[in-house]
Amino acid sequence: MPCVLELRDISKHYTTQKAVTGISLQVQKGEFFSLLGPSGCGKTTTLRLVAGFEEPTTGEIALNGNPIHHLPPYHRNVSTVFQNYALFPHLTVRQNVEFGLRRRKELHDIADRARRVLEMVQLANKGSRKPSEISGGERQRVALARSLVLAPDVLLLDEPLSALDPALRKQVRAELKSLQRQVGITFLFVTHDQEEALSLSDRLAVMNAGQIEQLGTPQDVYLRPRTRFVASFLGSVNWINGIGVRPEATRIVKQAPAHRPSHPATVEEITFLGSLVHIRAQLHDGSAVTAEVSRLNNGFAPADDVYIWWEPCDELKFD
Amino acid sequence: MLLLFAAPLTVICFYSAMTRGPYGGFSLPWTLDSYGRLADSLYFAILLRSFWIAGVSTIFCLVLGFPLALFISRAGPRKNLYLTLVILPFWTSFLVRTYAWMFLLRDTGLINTVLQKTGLIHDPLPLLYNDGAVIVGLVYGFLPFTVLPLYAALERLDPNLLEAAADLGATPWHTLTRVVIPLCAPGIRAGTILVFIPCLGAYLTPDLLGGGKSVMVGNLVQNQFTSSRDWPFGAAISLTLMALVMLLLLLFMRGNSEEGLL
Repeated sequence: MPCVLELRDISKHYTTQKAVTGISLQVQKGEFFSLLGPSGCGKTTTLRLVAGFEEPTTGEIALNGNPIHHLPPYHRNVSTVFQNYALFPHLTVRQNVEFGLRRRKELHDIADRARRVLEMVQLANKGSRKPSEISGGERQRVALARSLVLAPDVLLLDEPLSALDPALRKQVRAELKSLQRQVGITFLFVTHDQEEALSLSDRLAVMNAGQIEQLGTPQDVYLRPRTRFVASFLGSVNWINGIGVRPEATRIVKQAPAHRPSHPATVEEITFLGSLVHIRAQLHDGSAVTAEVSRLNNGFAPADDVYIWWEPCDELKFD
Repeated sequence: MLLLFAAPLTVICFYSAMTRGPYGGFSLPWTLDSYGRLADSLYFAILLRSFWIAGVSTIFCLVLGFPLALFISRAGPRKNLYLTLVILPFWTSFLVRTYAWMFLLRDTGLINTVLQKTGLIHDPLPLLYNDGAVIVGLVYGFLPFTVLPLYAALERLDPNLLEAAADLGATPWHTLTRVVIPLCAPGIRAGTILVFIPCLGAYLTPDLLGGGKSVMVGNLVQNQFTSSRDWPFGAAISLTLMALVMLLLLLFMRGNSEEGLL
Protein backbone atom coordinates (compact mmCIF):
# COMPACT_ATOMS: atom_id res chain seq x y z
CA MET A 1 0.00 0.00 0.00
CA PRO A 2 1.32 3.45 -0.75
CA CYS A 3 2.45 5.67 2.08
CA VAL A 4 0.20 8.71 2.38
CA LEU A 5 1.89 10.46 5.33
CA GLU A 6 5.51 10.35 6.30
CA LEU A 7 7.32 12.04 9.18
CA ARG A 8 11.11 12.00 8.89
CA ASP A 9 13.06 12.71 12.06
CA ILE A 10 10.64 15.38 13.27
CA SER A 11 11.60 17.44 16.32
CA LYS A 12 9.86 20.32 18.00
CA HIS A 13 11.91 22.08 20.62
CA TYR A 14 10.70 25.10 22.53
CA THR A 15 13.07 27.27 24.55
CA THR A 16 11.80 25.72 27.78
CA GLN A 17 11.25 22.12 26.72
CA LYS A 18 11.72 19.51 24.02
CA ALA A 19 8.21 18.51 23.03
CA VAL A 20 9.14 15.81 20.50
CA THR A 21 12.45 14.47 19.23
CA GLY A 22 13.33 12.22 16.36
CA ILE A 23 9.82 11.19 15.36
CA SER A 24 9.77 9.07 12.21
CA LEU A 25 6.78 7.13 10.97
CA GLN A 26 4.90 6.19 7.83
CA VAL A 27 1.14 5.94 7.62
CA GLN A 28 -0.30 3.82 4.84
CA LYS A 29 -3.27 4.89 2.79
CA GLY A 30 -6.56 3.84 4.38
CA GLU A 31 -4.90 2.94 7.67
CA PHE A 32 -6.25 3.70 11.14
CA PHE A 33 -3.05 4.82 12.87
CA SER A 34 -2.93 5.88 16.51
CA LEU A 35 -0.51 7.84 18.63
CA LEU A 36 -0.81 6.51 22.16
CA GLY A 37 0.83 7.81 25.31
CA PRO A 38 0.39 9.58 28.64
CA SER A 39 -0.21 13.34 28.97
CA GLY A 40 2.80 15.33 27.90
CA CYS A 41 4.31 12.58 25.76
CA GLY A 42 4.17 14.71 22.62
CA LYS A 43 1.37 12.97 20.76
CA THR A 44 -0.77 16.10 20.41
CA THR A 45 2.28 18.13 19.41
CA THR A 46 2.97 15.59 16.66
CA LEU A 47 -0.62 15.88 15.45
CA ARG A 48 -0.42 19.67 15.43
CA LEU A 49 2.80 19.50 13.44
CA VAL A 50 1.04 17.42 10.79
CA ALA A 51 -1.95 19.80 10.80
CA GLY A 52 0.30 22.83 10.41
CA PHE A 53 -0.46 24.66 13.65
CA GLU A 54 3.20 24.35 14.61
CA GLU A 55 6.33 24.28 12.49
CA PRO A 56 8.93 21.58 13.18
CA THR A 57 12.31 22.61 14.52
CA THR A 58 13.93 19.95 12.34
CA GLY A 59 12.70 17.17 10.10
CA GLU A 60 10.27 16.81 7.22
CA ILE A 61 6.64 15.95 6.77
CA ALA A 62 5.45 14.64 3.43
CA LEU A 63 1.92 14.06 2.21
CA ASN A 64 1.74 11.67 -0.74
CA GLY A 65 5.41 12.31 -1.28
CA ASN A 66 5.13 16.12 -1.31
CA PRO A 67 6.74 18.07 1.52
CA ILE A 68 4.19 20.06 3.52
CA HIS A 69 6.03 21.06 6.69
CA HIS A 70 6.48 24.63 5.50
CA LEU A 71 2.90 25.05 4.35
CA PRO A 72 0.27 26.86 6.46
CA PRO A 73 -2.73 24.76 7.60
CA TYR A 74 -5.03 26.14 4.91
CA HIS A 75 -2.78 24.79 2.17
CA ARG A 76 -2.53 21.26 3.50
CA ASN A 77 -5.01 18.61 2.48
CA VAL A 78 -5.45 17.32 6.01
CA SER A 79 -8.29 18.15 8.37
CA THR A 80 -8.49 18.13 12.16
CA VAL A 81 -11.26 17.05 14.52
CA PHE A 82 -10.53 18.95 17.74
CA GLN A 83 -10.95 17.62 21.23
CA ASN A 84 -13.54 20.28 22.02
CA TYR A 85 -14.89 20.11 18.44
CA ALA A 86 -14.35 23.86 17.82
CA LEU A 87 -17.65 24.28 15.99
CA PHE A 88 -18.38 27.85 14.90
CA PRO A 89 -21.06 28.98 17.36
CA HIS A 90 -22.47 31.66 15.09
CA LEU A 91 -23.16 29.20 12.23
CA THR A 92 -25.72 26.43 11.93
CA VAL A 93 -24.73 22.77 11.66
CA ARG A 94 -25.06 22.89 7.87
CA GLN A 95 -23.10 26.15 7.62
CA ASN A 96 -20.36 24.64 9.76
CA VAL A 97 -20.14 21.66 7.42
CA GLU A 98 -20.14 23.89 4.34
CA PHE A 99 -17.45 26.21 5.74
CA GLY A 100 -14.46 24.50 4.17
CA LEU A 101 -16.17 24.06 0.82
CA ARG A 102 -17.03 27.74 0.69
CA ARG A 103 -13.47 28.74 1.50
CA ARG A 104 -12.36 26.63 -1.43
CA LYS A 105 -15.03 28.19 -3.59
CA GLU A 106 -16.36 24.74 -4.48
CA LEU A 107 -19.90 25.96 -4.63
CA HIS A 108 -21.38 23.93 -7.43
CA ASP A 109 -23.10 21.21 -5.45
CA ILE A 110 -22.28 22.35 -1.96
CA ALA A 111 -25.74 21.71 -0.54
CA ASP A 112 -25.76 18.18 -1.89
CA ARG A 113 -22.34 17.25 -0.54
CA ALA A 114 -23.17 18.72 2.86
CA ARG A 115 -26.42 16.79 2.99
CA ARG A 116 -24.75 13.52 2.06
CA VAL A 117 -22.07 13.75 4.70
CA LEU A 118 -24.63 14.77 7.33
CA GLU A 119 -26.63 11.69 6.40
CA MET A 120 -23.50 9.61 6.84
CA VAL A 121 -23.20 10.77 10.44
CA GLN A 122 -26.97 10.59 10.96
CA LEU A 123 -27.55 14.28 11.48
CA ALA A 124 -29.45 15.08 8.31
CA ASN A 125 -32.44 16.47 10.21
CA LYS A 126 -30.41 18.80 12.44
CA GLY A 127 -28.90 20.93 9.71
CA SER A 128 -30.47 24.20 10.78
CA ARG A 129 -29.67 23.88 14.47
CA LYS A 130 -26.91 25.84 16.12
CA PRO A 131 -24.10 23.99 17.95
CA SER A 132 -25.48 25.16 21.28
CA GLU A 133 -28.75 23.40 20.53
CA ILE A 134 -27.36 19.88 20.04
CA SER A 135 -25.78 17.33 22.36
CA GLY A 136 -22.06 16.65 22.89
CA GLY A 137 -22.16 13.46 20.84
CA GLU A 138 -23.94 15.24 18.01
CA ARG A 139 -21.39 18.05 18.08
CA GLN A 140 -18.66 15.52 17.66
CA ARG A 141 -20.39 14.14 14.59
CA VAL A 142 -20.73 17.62 13.13
CA ALA A 143 -17.00 18.15 13.65
CA LEU A 144 -16.38 14.86 11.85
CA ALA A 145 -18.72 15.75 9.02
CA ARG A 146 -17.15 19.18 8.64
CA SER A 147 -13.75 17.62 8.07
CA LEU A 148 -14.86 14.57 6.07
CA VAL A 149 -16.75 16.63 3.49
CA LEU A 150 -13.41 18.04 2.34
CA ALA A 151 -12.11 14.53 1.54
CA PRO A 152 -8.72 15.14 3.17
CA ASP A 153 -5.79 12.81 2.53
CA VAL A 154 -5.52 12.27 6.29
CA LEU A 155 -8.08 12.95 9.01
CA LEU A 156 -6.44 14.04 12.26
CA LEU A 157 -8.36 13.30 15.44
CA ASP A 158 -7.23 14.79 18.75
CA GLU A 159 -8.67 12.63 21.55
CA PRO A 160 -12.16 12.95 20.07
CA LEU A 161 -13.75 10.54 22.53
CA SER A 162 -12.40 11.96 25.78
CA ALA A 163 -15.04 14.70 26.02
CA LEU A 164 -17.85 12.13 25.84
CA ASP A 165 -19.28 10.42 28.87
CA PRO A 166 -18.06 6.82 29.30
CA ALA A 167 -21.39 5.24 28.38
CA LEU A 168 -21.34 6.94 25.00
CA ARG A 169 -17.67 6.34 24.38
CA LYS A 170 -17.84 2.64 23.51
CA GLN A 171 -20.71 3.17 21.12
CA VAL A 172 -19.08 6.11 19.37
CA ARG A 173 -15.84 4.17 19.18
CA ALA A 174 -17.54 1.43 17.19
CA GLU A 175 -19.26 3.98 14.94
CA LEU A 176 -15.97 5.71 14.30
CA LYS A 177 -14.29 2.48 13.29
CA SER A 178 -17.03 1.47 10.89
CA LEU A 179 -17.13 4.98 9.46
CA GLN A 180 -13.44 4.86 8.76
CA ARG A 181 -13.79 1.50 7.03
CA GLN A 182 -16.74 2.76 5.03
CA VAL A 183 -15.17 6.01 3.87
CA GLY A 184 -11.66 4.61 3.50
CA ILE A 185 -9.92 7.83 4.61
CA THR A 186 -6.63 7.50 6.49
CA PHE A 187 -7.06 8.34 10.19
CA LEU A 188 -4.33 9.66 12.49
CA PHE A 189 -5.80 9.25 15.97
CA VAL A 190 -4.38 10.62 19.23
CA THR A 191 -5.40 9.10 22.56
CA HIS A 192 -4.14 8.30 26.05
CA ASP A 193 -6.59 5.41 26.42
CA GLN A 194 -4.87 2.13 25.57
CA GLU A 195 -8.14 0.25 25.19
CA GLU A 196 -9.25 2.74 22.53
CA ALA A 197 -5.94 2.52 20.72
CA LEU A 198 -5.85 -1.27 20.77
CA SER A 199 -9.43 -1.73 19.59
CA LEU A 200 -9.42 0.90 16.85
CA SER A 201 -5.98 0.87 15.29
CA ASP A 202 -4.45 -1.01 12.43
CA ARG A 203 -1.12 0.13 13.80
CA LEU A 204 -0.07 2.39 16.62
CA ALA A 205 2.94 4.27 17.96
CA VAL A 206 3.47 4.30 21.72
CA MET A 207 5.04 7.60 22.76
CA ASN A 208 6.78 8.67 25.93
CA ALA A 209 8.63 11.88 26.79
CA GLY A 210 8.62 13.13 23.22
CA GLN A 211 9.81 9.95 21.54
CA ILE A 212 8.30 6.86 19.95
CA GLU A 213 9.10 3.83 22.11
CA GLN A 214 7.48 1.29 19.84
CA LEU A 215 5.52 1.20 16.61
CA GLY A 216 3.50 -1.80 15.45
CA THR A 217 0.17 -3.57 15.31
CA PRO A 218 -1.89 -3.82 18.52
CA GLN A 219 -0.81 -7.45 18.88
CA ASP A 220 2.86 -6.57 18.41
CA VAL A 221 2.78 -3.83 20.96
CA TYR A 222 0.78 -5.75 23.55
CA LEU A 223 2.33 -9.22 23.28
CA ARG A 224 5.89 -8.20 22.43
CA PRO A 225 6.55 -4.84 24.12
CA ARG A 226 10.08 -3.66 23.56
CA THR A 227 10.45 -1.59 26.71
CA ARG A 228 9.11 -1.76 30.26
CA PHE A 229 7.24 1.48 29.64
CA VAL A 230 5.33 0.06 26.69
CA ALA A 231 4.61 -3.12 28.62
CA SER A 232 3.11 -1.33 31.61
CA PHE A 233 1.30 1.33 29.58
CA LEU A 234 -0.55 -1.13 27.39
CA GLY A 235 -1.73 -3.26 30.27
CA SER A 236 -0.68 -4.60 33.65
CA VAL A 237 2.50 -6.58 34.20
CA ASN A 238 3.59 -8.90 37.00
CA TRP A 239 7.30 -8.72 37.69
CA ILE A 240 8.68 -11.97 39.08
CA ASN A 241 12.44 -12.09 39.53
CA GLY A 242 12.91 -9.64 36.70
CA ILE A 243 10.62 -11.50 34.32
CA GLY A 244 7.40 -9.80 33.18
CA VAL A 245 4.18 -11.78 32.79
CA ARG A 246 0.74 -10.37 32.08
CA PRO A 247 -2.06 -11.16 34.59
CA GLU A 248 -4.13 -13.09 32.06
CA ALA A 249 -1.07 -15.28 31.37
CA THR A 250 -0.34 -15.80 35.08
CA ARG A 251 -1.77 -19.23 35.92
CA ILE A 252 -2.93 -19.90 39.43
CA VAL A 253 -3.64 -23.44 40.68
CA LYS A 254 -4.24 -25.17 44.00
CA GLN A 255 -1.75 -28.01 43.43
CA ALA A 256 1.78 -27.76 42.13
CA PRO A 257 1.75 -28.58 38.41
CA ALA A 258 3.80 -31.55 37.36
CA HIS A 259 6.75 -31.13 34.94
CA ARG A 260 6.85 -27.33 35.25
CA PRO A 261 8.55 -24.84 37.53
CA SER A 262 6.10 -22.97 39.73
CA HIS A 263 6.13 -20.54 42.62
CA PRO A 264 4.21 -21.18 45.84
CA ALA A 265 2.10 -18.27 47.04
CA THR A 266 -0.75 -17.28 49.35
CA VAL A 267 -3.95 -15.60 48.19
CA GLU A 268 -4.28 -12.13 49.71
CA GLU A 269 -7.26 -10.57 48.05
CA ILE A 270 -9.84 -11.37 45.40
CA THR A 271 -11.36 -8.51 43.42
CA PHE A 272 -14.60 -9.10 41.53
CA LEU A 273 -14.76 -7.16 38.27
CA GLY A 274 -17.84 -8.66 36.71
CA SER A 275 -16.78 -11.07 33.97
CA LEU A 276 -13.24 -11.25 35.34
CA VAL A 277 -11.72 -11.82 38.76
CA HIS A 278 -8.36 -10.46 39.89
CA ILE A 279 -6.59 -12.64 42.41
CA ARG A 280 -3.69 -11.00 44.24
CA ALA A 281 -1.30 -13.50 45.73
CA GLN A 282 1.92 -13.01 47.66
CA LEU A 283 4.94 -15.05 46.75
CA HIS A 284 7.26 -16.35 49.46
CA ASP A 285 9.85 -13.67 48.67
CA GLY A 286 7.32 -10.99 49.53
CA SER A 287 6.44 -9.75 46.04
CA ALA A 288 2.83 -9.76 44.90
CA VAL A 289 1.37 -10.91 41.61
CA THR A 290 -2.09 -10.50 40.18
CA ALA A 291 -3.65 -13.32 38.20
CA GLU A 292 -6.64 -12.64 36.02
CA VAL A 293 -9.18 -15.44 35.65
CA SER A 294 -12.67 -15.66 34.29
CA ARG A 295 -15.20 -15.59 37.11
CA LEU A 296 -16.30 -19.04 36.00
CA ASN A 297 -12.89 -20.43 36.97
CA ASN A 298 -12.64 -18.76 40.32
CA GLY A 299 -12.55 -21.33 43.10
CA PHE A 300 -10.20 -19.36 45.32
CA ALA A 301 -10.51 -17.62 48.65
CA PRO A 302 -8.17 -15.43 50.68
CA ALA A 303 -5.44 -17.30 52.60
CA ASP A 304 -5.55 -20.20 50.16
CA ASP A 305 -2.19 -21.79 49.34
CA VAL A 306 -1.64 -21.70 45.60
CA TYR A 307 1.01 -22.17 42.93
CA ILE A 308 1.82 -19.61 40.24
CA TRP A 309 3.18 -20.66 36.85
CA TRP A 310 3.22 -19.41 33.24
CA GLU A 311 4.09 -20.49 29.75
CA PRO A 312 7.60 -19.40 28.67
CA CYS A 313 6.19 -17.90 25.49
CA ASP A 314 4.18 -15.46 27.60
CA GLU A 315 7.31 -13.98 29.13
CA LEU A 316 7.93 -10.36 28.16
CA LYS A 317 11.49 -9.79 27.02
CA PHE A 318 13.00 -6.37 26.52
CA ASP A 319 15.87 -5.06 24.45
CA MET B 1 -32.83 55.75 41.50
CA LEU B 2 -36.23 56.22 39.89
CA LEU B 3 -36.54 59.51 41.72
CA LEU B 4 -33.19 60.78 40.50
CA PHE B 5 -34.08 59.90 36.94
CA ALA B 6 -37.82 60.51 36.77
CA ALA B 7 -37.93 63.80 38.63
CA PRO B 8 -35.64 65.82 36.34
CA LEU B 9 -37.23 64.18 33.32
CA THR B 10 -40.68 65.25 34.44
CA VAL B 11 -39.47 68.80 34.99
CA ILE B 12 -38.01 68.91 31.48
CA CYS B 13 -41.26 67.58 30.06
CA PHE B 14 -43.15 70.40 31.69
CA TYR B 15 -40.68 73.04 30.50
CA SER B 16 -40.94 71.83 26.93
CA ALA B 17 -44.62 72.58 26.82
CA MET B 18 -44.32 76.12 28.11
CA THR B 19 -43.52 79.49 26.64
CA ARG B 20 -40.39 81.56 26.96
CA GLY B 21 -40.73 84.14 29.72
CA PRO B 22 -40.23 87.89 29.00
CA TYR B 23 -36.79 87.88 30.66
CA GLY B 24 -35.95 84.29 29.79
CA GLY B 25 -36.77 81.18 31.77
CA PHE B 26 -40.24 79.86 31.37
CA SER B 27 -43.84 80.87 31.94
CA LEU B 28 -47.38 79.89 31.05
CA PRO B 29 -49.37 79.51 28.77
CA TRP B 30 -48.92 75.85 27.82
CA THR B 31 -48.01 75.41 24.19
CA LEU B 32 -46.31 72.95 21.90
CA ASP B 33 -44.77 75.67 19.73
CA SER B 34 -41.25 74.71 20.78
CA TYR B 35 -41.60 71.34 19.12
CA GLY B 36 -42.87 72.95 15.96
CA ARG B 37 -39.79 75.14 15.71
CA LEU B 38 -37.62 72.07 15.43
CA ALA B 39 -38.94 71.46 11.97
CA ASP B 40 -37.29 74.70 10.86
CA SER B 41 -34.58 73.89 8.32
CA LEU B 42 -31.88 75.57 10.42
CA TYR B 43 -32.48 73.44 13.44
CA PHE B 44 -33.11 70.37 11.36
CA ALA B 45 -29.72 70.84 9.71
CA ILE B 46 -28.08 70.95 13.13
CA LEU B 47 -29.81 67.71 14.08
CA LEU B 48 -28.65 66.12 10.85
CA ARG B 49 -25.09 67.28 11.29
CA SER B 50 -25.07 65.88 14.82
CA PHE B 51 -26.13 62.44 13.58
CA TRP B 52 -23.58 62.67 10.77
CA ILE B 53 -20.69 63.62 13.05
CA ALA B 54 -21.67 61.09 15.71
CA GLY B 55 -22.02 58.38 13.06
CA VAL B 56 -18.68 59.06 11.40
CA SER B 57 -16.96 59.25 14.78
CA THR B 58 -18.45 55.91 15.76
CA ILE B 59 -17.28 54.29 12.55
CA PHE B 60 -13.76 55.65 13.00
CA CYS B 61 -13.73 54.48 16.60
CA LEU B 62 -14.65 50.97 15.48
CA VAL B 63 -12.25 50.88 12.54
CA LEU B 64 -9.34 52.17 14.63
CA GLY B 65 -10.34 50.39 17.81
CA PHE B 66 -10.50 46.91 16.32
CA PRO B 67 -6.85 46.58 15.20
CA LEU B 68 -5.81 48.06 18.53
CA ALA B 69 -7.95 45.58 20.48
CA LEU B 70 -6.56 42.77 18.31
CA PHE B 71 -3.02 43.89 18.96
CA ILE B 72 -3.57 44.02 22.71
CA SER B 73 -5.25 40.62 22.85
CA ARG B 74 -2.19 39.09 21.16
CA ALA B 75 0.34 40.97 23.24
CA GLY B 76 0.95 38.20 25.77
CA PRO B 77 2.43 39.43 29.04
CA ARG B 78 2.23 43.11 28.04
CA LYS B 79 -1.57 43.07 27.78
CA ASN B 80 -2.16 44.81 31.08
CA LEU B 81 0.36 47.49 30.28
CA TYR B 82 -1.35 48.31 27.01
CA LEU B 83 -4.78 48.30 28.59
CA THR B 84 -3.56 50.74 31.22
CA LEU B 85 -2.18 52.99 28.50
CA VAL B 86 -5.57 53.00 26.76
CA ILE B 87 -7.37 53.99 29.96
CA LEU B 88 -4.71 56.44 31.17
CA PRO B 89 -6.07 59.52 29.31
CA PHE B 90 -9.22 59.26 31.42
CA TRP B 91 -7.15 60.26 34.40
CA THR B 92 -6.60 63.68 32.83
CA SER B 93 -9.21 66.35 32.28
CA PHE B 94 -11.24 66.05 29.10
CA LEU B 95 -11.18 69.82 28.76
CA VAL B 96 -7.41 69.94 28.93
CA ARG B 97 -7.12 67.18 26.35
CA THR B 98 -9.47 69.02 24.02
CA TYR B 99 -7.43 72.19 24.39
CA ALA B 100 -4.38 70.12 23.54
CA TRP B 101 -5.99 69.27 20.22
CA MET B 102 -6.57 72.96 19.54
CA PHE B 103 -2.89 73.50 20.14
CA LEU B 104 -2.06 70.78 17.63
CA LEU B 105 -4.54 71.71 14.93
CA ARG B 106 -4.66 75.48 14.76
CA ASP B 107 -2.94 77.54 12.05
CA THR B 108 0.02 78.33 14.28
CA GLY B 109 -0.22 74.94 15.95
CA LEU B 110 2.29 72.11 16.09
CA ILE B 111 1.20 70.24 12.98
CA ASN B 112 1.11 73.25 10.69
CA THR B 113 4.38 74.60 12.06
CA VAL B 114 6.18 71.33 11.42
CA LEU B 115 4.73 70.99 7.92
CA GLN B 116 5.66 74.55 7.04
CA LYS B 117 9.15 74.39 8.53
CA THR B 118 9.93 71.22 6.58
CA GLY B 119 8.71 72.91 3.45
CA LEU B 120 5.91 70.42 2.73
CA ILE B 121 3.28 73.16 2.65
CA HIS B 122 3.35 76.92 2.17
CA ASP B 123 0.20 78.17 3.81
CA PRO B 124 -1.22 76.62 6.95
CA LEU B 125 -3.89 73.93 6.51
CA PRO B 126 -7.31 74.73 7.99
CA LEU B 127 -7.30 71.88 10.45
CA LEU B 128 -9.32 73.56 13.18
CA TYR B 129 -12.82 75.01 13.46
CA ASN B 130 -14.59 72.58 11.15
CA ASP B 131 -16.51 69.28 11.26
CA GLY B 132 -13.29 67.33 10.73
CA ALA B 133 -11.67 68.77 13.84
CA VAL B 134 -14.75 67.88 15.87
CA ILE B 135 -14.61 64.31 14.59
CA VAL B 136 -10.92 64.06 15.45
CA GLY B 137 -11.62 65.28 18.97
CA LEU B 138 -14.54 62.92 19.47
CA VAL B 139 -12.72 59.89 18.08
CA TYR B 140 -9.73 60.61 20.29
CA GLY B 141 -11.91 60.97 23.35
CA PHE B 142 -14.12 57.94 22.76
CA LEU B 143 -11.69 55.42 21.28
CA PRO B 144 -11.29 53.55 24.58
CA PHE B 145 -15.02 52.91 24.52
CA THR B 146 -14.63 50.67 21.49
CA VAL B 147 -11.23 49.24 22.37
CA LEU B 148 -12.36 47.82 25.70
CA PRO B 149 -15.57 46.02 24.60
CA LEU B 150 -13.83 44.72 21.48
CA TYR B 151 -10.91 43.49 23.57
CA ALA B 152 -13.33 41.74 25.92
CA ALA B 153 -15.06 40.07 22.97
CA LEU B 154 -11.73 38.97 21.49
CA GLU B 155 -10.58 37.52 24.80
CA ARG B 156 -13.71 35.38 24.94
CA LEU B 157 -12.91 33.91 21.54
CA ASP B 158 -11.85 30.27 21.66
CA PRO B 159 -8.40 30.06 19.98
CA ASN B 160 -9.33 26.62 18.68
CA LEU B 161 -11.87 28.32 16.42
CA LEU B 162 -9.11 30.23 14.68
CA GLU B 163 -7.15 27.03 14.18
CA ALA B 164 -10.26 25.23 12.98
CA ALA B 165 -10.91 27.93 10.40
CA ALA B 166 -7.34 27.73 9.10
CA ASP B 167 -7.54 23.94 9.12
CA LEU B 168 -10.63 24.10 6.92
CA GLY B 169 -8.92 26.28 4.35
CA ALA B 170 -9.51 29.85 5.56
CA THR B 171 -6.65 32.29 4.97
CA PRO B 172 -5.97 34.72 7.84
CA TRP B 173 -8.15 37.32 6.08
CA HIS B 174 -11.02 34.84 5.74
CA THR B 175 -10.69 33.87 9.38
CA LEU B 176 -10.85 37.53 10.34
CA THR B 177 -13.91 38.36 8.27
CA ARG B 178 -15.87 35.11 8.60
CA VAL B 179 -15.09 34.06 12.15
CA VAL B 180 -13.47 36.75 14.29
CA ILE B 181 -15.58 39.75 13.35
CA PRO B 182 -18.96 37.95 13.44
CA LEU B 183 -18.09 36.53 16.84
CA CYS B 184 -17.15 40.02 18.06
CA ALA B 185 -20.64 41.29 17.25
CA PRO B 186 -21.58 41.81 20.92
CA GLY B 187 -18.44 43.90 21.42
CA ILE B 188 -19.12 45.88 18.26
CA ARG B 189 -22.67 46.52 19.40
CA ALA B 190 -21.55 47.64 22.85
CA GLY B 191 -18.88 49.90 21.39
CA THR B 192 -21.31 51.47 18.95
CA ILE B 193 -23.80 52.37 21.65
CA LEU B 194 -21.11 53.61 24.02
CA VAL B 195 -19.73 55.99 21.39
CA PHE B 196 -22.69 57.06 19.30
CA ILE B 197 -24.97 58.26 22.07
CA PRO B 198 -22.48 60.46 23.94
CA CYS B 199 -21.21 61.84 20.64
CA LEU B 200 -24.73 62.89 19.72
CA GLY B 201 -25.01 64.92 22.88
CA ALA B 202 -21.48 66.35 22.74
CA TYR B 203 -21.14 70.08 23.24
CA LEU B 204 -17.68 70.68 24.63
CA THR B 205 -15.83 69.23 21.67
CA PRO B 206 -17.86 70.96 18.95
CA ASP B 207 -17.67 74.19 20.92
CA LEU B 208 -13.90 74.24 21.25
CA LEU B 209 -12.79 72.41 18.13
CA GLY B 210 -15.61 73.50 15.84
CA GLY B 211 -15.62 77.14 16.80
CA GLY B 212 -18.99 78.57 15.89
CA LYS B 213 -18.89 76.74 12.59
CA SER B 214 -19.82 73.27 13.64
CA VAL B 215 -22.86 73.52 15.79
CA MET B 216 -24.24 70.29 17.13
CA VAL B 217 -27.41 69.55 19.04
CA GLY B 218 -25.58 69.72 22.35
CA ASN B 219 -24.44 73.27 21.63
CA LEU B 220 -27.97 74.21 20.64
CA VAL B 221 -29.44 72.96 23.89
CA GLN B 222 -26.64 74.60 25.86
CA ASN B 223 -27.38 77.92 24.18
CA GLN B 224 -31.06 77.76 25.03
CA PHE B 225 -30.29 77.35 28.69
CA THR B 226 -27.65 80.05 28.77
CA SER B 227 -27.48 82.96 26.34
CA SER B 228 -30.80 82.53 24.54
CA ARG B 229 -32.60 81.84 27.79
CA ASP B 230 -35.32 79.91 26.04
CA TRP B 231 -35.76 77.02 28.39
CA PRO B 232 -38.89 75.57 26.77
CA PHE B 233 -37.10 75.31 23.43
CA GLY B 234 -34.04 73.72 25.05
CA ALA B 235 -36.25 71.24 26.82
CA ALA B 236 -38.12 70.42 23.63
CA ILE B 237 -34.88 69.74 21.75
CA SER B 238 -33.59 67.52 24.54
CA LEU B 239 -36.72 65.44 24.66
CA THR B 240 -36.84 65.05 20.89
CA LEU B 241 -33.24 63.91 20.85
CA MET B 242 -33.91 61.47 23.65
CA ALA B 243 -36.93 60.05 21.81
CA LEU B 244 -34.92 59.60 18.61
CA VAL B 245 -32.07 57.85 20.42
CA MET B 246 -34.45 55.50 22.21
CA LEU B 247 -36.07 54.64 18.91
CA LEU B 248 -32.68 53.84 17.39
CA LEU B 249 -31.71 51.75 20.40
CA LEU B 250 -34.92 49.77 20.15
CA LEU B 251 -34.34 49.00 16.49
CA PHE B 252 -30.71 48.17 17.17
CA MET B 253 -31.56 45.81 19.98
CA ARG B 254 -34.45 44.21 18.16
CA GLY B 255 -32.12 42.99 15.46
CA ASN B 256 -30.05 41.15 18.03
CA SER B 257 -32.63 39.90 20.47
CA GLU B 258 -31.36 36.34 20.68
CA GLU B 259 -27.91 37.31 21.82
CA GLY B 260 -29.19 39.52 24.60
CA LEU B 261 -27.98 42.93 25.66
CA LEU B 262 -24.34 43.58 24.89
